[in-house]
Amino acid sequence: MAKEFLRCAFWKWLGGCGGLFLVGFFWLCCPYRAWAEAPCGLAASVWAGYYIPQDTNFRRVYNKDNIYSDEGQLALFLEFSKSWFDQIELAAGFGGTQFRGYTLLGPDNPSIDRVKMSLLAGYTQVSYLFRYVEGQMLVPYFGGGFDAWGYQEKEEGDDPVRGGKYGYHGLVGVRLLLDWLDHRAAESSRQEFGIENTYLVFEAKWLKIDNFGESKLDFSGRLYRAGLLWEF
Amino acid sequence: MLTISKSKAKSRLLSKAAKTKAKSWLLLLVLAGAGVFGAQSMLLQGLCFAQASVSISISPSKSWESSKEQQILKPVMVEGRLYLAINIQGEKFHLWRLDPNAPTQDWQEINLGGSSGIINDPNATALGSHGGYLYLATKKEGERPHLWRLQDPNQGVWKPVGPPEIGLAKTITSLCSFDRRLYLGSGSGQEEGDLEGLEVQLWRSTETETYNQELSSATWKPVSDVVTSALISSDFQEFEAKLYLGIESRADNQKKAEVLKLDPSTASPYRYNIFGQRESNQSVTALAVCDQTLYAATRNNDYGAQVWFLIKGGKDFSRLSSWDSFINPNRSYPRSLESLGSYLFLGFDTPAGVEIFRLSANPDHLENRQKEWGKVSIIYDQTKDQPLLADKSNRLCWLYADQSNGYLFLGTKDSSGAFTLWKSDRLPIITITSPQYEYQSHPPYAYLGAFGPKSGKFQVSWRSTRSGNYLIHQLQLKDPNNQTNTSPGFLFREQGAEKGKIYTSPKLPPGDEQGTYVAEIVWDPNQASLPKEQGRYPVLFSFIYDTKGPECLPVVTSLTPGNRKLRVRWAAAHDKLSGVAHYRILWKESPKEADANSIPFSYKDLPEESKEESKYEYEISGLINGRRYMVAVLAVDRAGNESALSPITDKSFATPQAGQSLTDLVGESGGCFLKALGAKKIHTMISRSRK
Repeated sequence: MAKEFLRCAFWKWLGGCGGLFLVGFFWLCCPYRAWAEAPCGLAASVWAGYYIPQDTNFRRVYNKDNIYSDEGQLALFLEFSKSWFDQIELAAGFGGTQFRGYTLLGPDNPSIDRVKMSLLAGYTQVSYLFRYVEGQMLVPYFGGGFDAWGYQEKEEGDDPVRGGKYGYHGLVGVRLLLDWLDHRAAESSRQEFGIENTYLVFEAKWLKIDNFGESKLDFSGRLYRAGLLWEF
Repeated sequence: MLTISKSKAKSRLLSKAAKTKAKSWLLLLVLAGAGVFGAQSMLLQGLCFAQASVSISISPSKSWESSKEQQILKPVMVEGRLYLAINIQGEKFHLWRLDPNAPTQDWQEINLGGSSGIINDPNATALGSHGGYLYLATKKEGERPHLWRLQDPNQGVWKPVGPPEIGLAKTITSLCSFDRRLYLGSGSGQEEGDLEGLEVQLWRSTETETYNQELSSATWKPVSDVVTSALISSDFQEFEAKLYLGIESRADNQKKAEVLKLDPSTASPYRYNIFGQRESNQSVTALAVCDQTLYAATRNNDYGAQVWFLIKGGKDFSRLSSWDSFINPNRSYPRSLESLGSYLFLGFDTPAGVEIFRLSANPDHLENRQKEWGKVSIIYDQTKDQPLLADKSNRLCWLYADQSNGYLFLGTKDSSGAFTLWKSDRLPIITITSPQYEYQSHPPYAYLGAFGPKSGKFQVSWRSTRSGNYLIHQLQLKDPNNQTNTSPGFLFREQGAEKGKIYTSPKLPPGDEQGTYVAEIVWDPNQASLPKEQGRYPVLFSFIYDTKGPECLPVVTSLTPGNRKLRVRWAAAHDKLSGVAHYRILWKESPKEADANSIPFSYKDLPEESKEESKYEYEISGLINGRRYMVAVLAVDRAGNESALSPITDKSFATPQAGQSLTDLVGESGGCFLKALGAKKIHTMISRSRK
């Protein structure tokens, strides 16, 4: 019952945040919007991070030397968000990564057949920002959300296996306001592009992506990422 | 003076610090990415030229300044004199002559028909040498081209010797003396644009008995069918009693490099058109013969110039692997390819100025295609070490190699339009051919073991630069660093050699022992049996006589299974004398070790390449999963001797099998993305709408 509720909530949440994502995207692309208008609470961010899956089998097949290790993989994301009262923020984003490895003949015994796992991740999340004054230099935040991941595993010479998994995540992070570094550039960005604030963001996510415990394939793990965020 | 520096040129690793102040952080990220990309490109470009450098000293011979546009034809040597024609826009062309061996660079202008001015055409289109005479092709727009013979250079007496009936719109672009006849290449059409009327045809004079017999317009006949949609793009080149000519084919509106081969006994020229099926070679801009091999330089705007070669008796051109050196859009158009002795010179006109590369064209290495071009530093003033041609305003018109005297001439034009002819110091032009190995034929590979010793012989050919006797000596080098421990062994004497002729020794035997030998040629004017220091040329050529296979065996270090394949890795073998040429990977199904000798091996030969130790690996594919295979490696040296098999150990056996991917391991079979995500309703709606 609880899982059914979660699944239902997940899809409603995903639909709503997907709409937000599209609104944010088209708003940014719109050539006629007035850059210099008052802050609208929308933000866009680009991210690069390290995704470390926790599944032992995953890490055995997909690491550089096929030796069990904590190695993860670089992942890239694009995210749009809308904030209310400077503290509540709803965000939607997508990103992807790719792992390469070798099929296994036995535990820790790789073959020479290459295999590639491509992951496309979509997510929505809500965050609470500890932001109480204008121009606050450090803004810690926490939050959580839902994830929908598509995967494709392609073994050399074989047909690919495709599918999708869903789940949820929790996150903590901190934003560092960069406008302090160069006021003149910040003012120029505000005048020319309507960028109210520019942040350097660090974030850690704990992912549970296993169809709420029903999947054999488990993409749960950790994601450490850093990004640049522009608030308009 | 030719100086060969053995030191490696430093890689040009350039880096620039970006000092742009970013207005936004996104822009900064993009710039950083572009910077990494740029640095990588520059690194790759720099590594391409980490090769041996060569310096050649030159001096200006004469400069021609003009306020009008000048076009300078490639010079031609006639009876020891260099002839040069210069077209000037809106004026009549000029013809000059030089004696390269004269102590002073006195250029003499040739009268174009005395006071009567018999040659009225404004432009010279080709120069040729035939039977000791200079032949000159001229053209006036809208008129038939004319061909002239210079009867008396001092008085400027010219005799018309044509033209053949080749049409008003055509131009004689190439002249060549071949098979006791004068050949000419005629073309029409413009270099760019309209293809209509674009064609090439070859003609020859009919005289065969004597060069002095006068040519007339009635004595010409076409020797080839008309090659349509093509332009002549190089000079003629004689090779193996055939005449070759580079063209730029425009068939199907695509520029394509081709070489015409004209056999006097057949009517239609053979067309080599294998250049650039995939490499987009557009034209053959130059041909040269060096060490019994024909070389062709091709223009390639996509990948940079390439050089191809056709060996004696070969069927098709092959590409020198060293074409990689020219991967640079600025080196797409090789202006000249000249041979001098055993060296090829390739000239480019680039935005960075004139660039010249040199290649030792010993055909022994062609099979391995491991030739490397060395960049030539052109030194103008030796005392000041002044690389004059680094001046970016200079443009290379052509290179010309004086085969008789050993000079290299360069024609350059500077930004003001002034044309300068440069003359190098005299370069040694002795030609050495590589050893002609006589390999035993290999039987089908059914058993293991080394084949018998190879009988190697070598042959030397050279151009006599002075009259007298020439001796060929041979030294055996037990220690490559100490050449004085063995006295010269006489091998061959050519008596009474005439200046300027080419001589070839018989096939000479190597010594009794295997080892590295060096042959030298000694000029002996007094018929003395011992070489004199002043007549001795530098060490010319080393020859390795090798009868034993690599002494250090390859060793299989790992054999890893895969799906219907095995990957074998091995440690390199070593052969001190001639070096490892290639490895032979052998495998066979071997259910029991006792059966190992009864089943024949399959094998694959892999050329030895200078690579990291970890890269000695090969994937054997097409195997059957679940069956046990034995794999071994042997090495073959450059003389063709094989080593014994690598030691057979546990690492020599493996069984191919399919591994498990992650989805295999966890038992996940995939499926529709939406369905898999739990959106059954959406998936059902989409499925219904499709139905």
